[in-house]
Amino acid sequence: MNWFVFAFVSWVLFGVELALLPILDAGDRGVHASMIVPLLTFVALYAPRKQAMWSAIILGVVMDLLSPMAQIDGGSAYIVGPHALGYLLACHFVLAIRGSLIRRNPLTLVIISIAGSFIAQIAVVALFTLRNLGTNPLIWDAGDQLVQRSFSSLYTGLSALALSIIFFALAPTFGFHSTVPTRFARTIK
Amino acid sequence: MQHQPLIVRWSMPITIVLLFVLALAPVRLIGWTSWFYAQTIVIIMPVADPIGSALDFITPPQAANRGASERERELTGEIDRYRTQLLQIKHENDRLNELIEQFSRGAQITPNLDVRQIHRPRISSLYNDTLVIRTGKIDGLTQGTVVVVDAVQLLGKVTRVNARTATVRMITAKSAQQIMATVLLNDEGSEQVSCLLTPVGDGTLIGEVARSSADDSWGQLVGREVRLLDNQWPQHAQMLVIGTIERIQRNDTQPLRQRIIVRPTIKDLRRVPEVILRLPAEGDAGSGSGSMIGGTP
Repeated sequence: MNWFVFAFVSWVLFGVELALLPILDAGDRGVHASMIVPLLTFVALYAPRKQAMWSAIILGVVMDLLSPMAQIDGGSAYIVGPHALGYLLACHFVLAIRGSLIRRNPLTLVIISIAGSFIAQIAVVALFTLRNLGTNPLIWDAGDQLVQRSFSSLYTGLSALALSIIFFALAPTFGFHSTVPTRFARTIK
Repeated sequence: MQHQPLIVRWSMPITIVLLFVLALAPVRLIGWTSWFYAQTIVIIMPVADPIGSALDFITPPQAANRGASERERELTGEIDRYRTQLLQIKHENDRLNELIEQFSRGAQITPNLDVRQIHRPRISSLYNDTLVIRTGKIDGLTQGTVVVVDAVQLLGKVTRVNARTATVRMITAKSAQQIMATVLLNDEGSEQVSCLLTPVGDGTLIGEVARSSADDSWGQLVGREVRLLDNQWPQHAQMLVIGTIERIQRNDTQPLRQRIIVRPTIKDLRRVPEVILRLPAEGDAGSGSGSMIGGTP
């Protein structure tokens, strides 16, 4: 995989996601489409296993740094780890099933993005809930967050559909050279 | 795979363990992550900022009174400022009267604070209803600095300060603290009723107000101003506008206590192009490079 292209696309998508955050926020309730999860899914579908996992960690760490958590004392904390581990889990899920997927179909990216986002967000909610069991410096409502993040995962399907066109067009520049055994067709290189 | 160096083979498991430890570590041990956050913002903003500006140009954020002309908006803003000053003076007067009473009992004097105001642009919105603004320790910001829009509309508090950027949590954020407020029942502010407002997470705040009798019409409350009156906030922030009552929610179990839904006068606080920071002037060493737009005693 061409890491420079990956870094550039990630950089642009993080910028676009932050800029569009207030506009694409469905109902002002923190439900918003992710641009990063479709990228993660796309990379996990095509890239070699190890590179896909490192990509997931990098994207997750950046997402953690851009998601300040409210503390009870009125401050903010940047908790590195929950998104990184959540994205890694989502990446693992995609890696596990990618052999039996029709990868050139945009709908594959849409469905896998929604499923991957669900998995990642459940992991994020679980980790934050776990850390709040002890000393409780963060303002955190697990149920509320789960609902909000589940709807965000569904909404991510829309952004995945739009981004799939761009990703498939850019696929050659990513320079994926992985041999993925497929179930129903010839091995894809 | 077997020929890879040990560090390469173990890099992934070590990273996962490290991420687990960081995810569960106490906040006081991971304060250093804010430095990485600041660098991330520096890297991401060259993309987010132009796109945000372009979007603001295409779909301008809604102003408080859209139908009004520029002159009318100026005048309305002036009226708002004077009303705020008047109410602040009234509130200060009440407070001083109480103080005089306390003096007679030998109570200590609360020092009065001057406020300097700094005008700064918003860089971007972050997740969890927070904003990033282009100022920081360089201008003397601290955690808890009060942030307003349009001179009197309360936006929130600074929650994190870096050297050149600061994170602001809006009053409407779900994770924001509850606010004690007062509803002005008439334009003079002579009749007020207090309430505790809780952010809902959809850009509004909800609270309960009590009326003295069932004869009072609840419908009259719609459109009434709600202002800050909370001891948890600095003295200079008292009587700033939280918003107006958008609607009344029926509370059948308690007819004398109905729920009010309050929305800030700016429809979407996340899209304000610039903010004003209210800093106590006293003991402030950092002069900063910002444009000071006024001081309020």
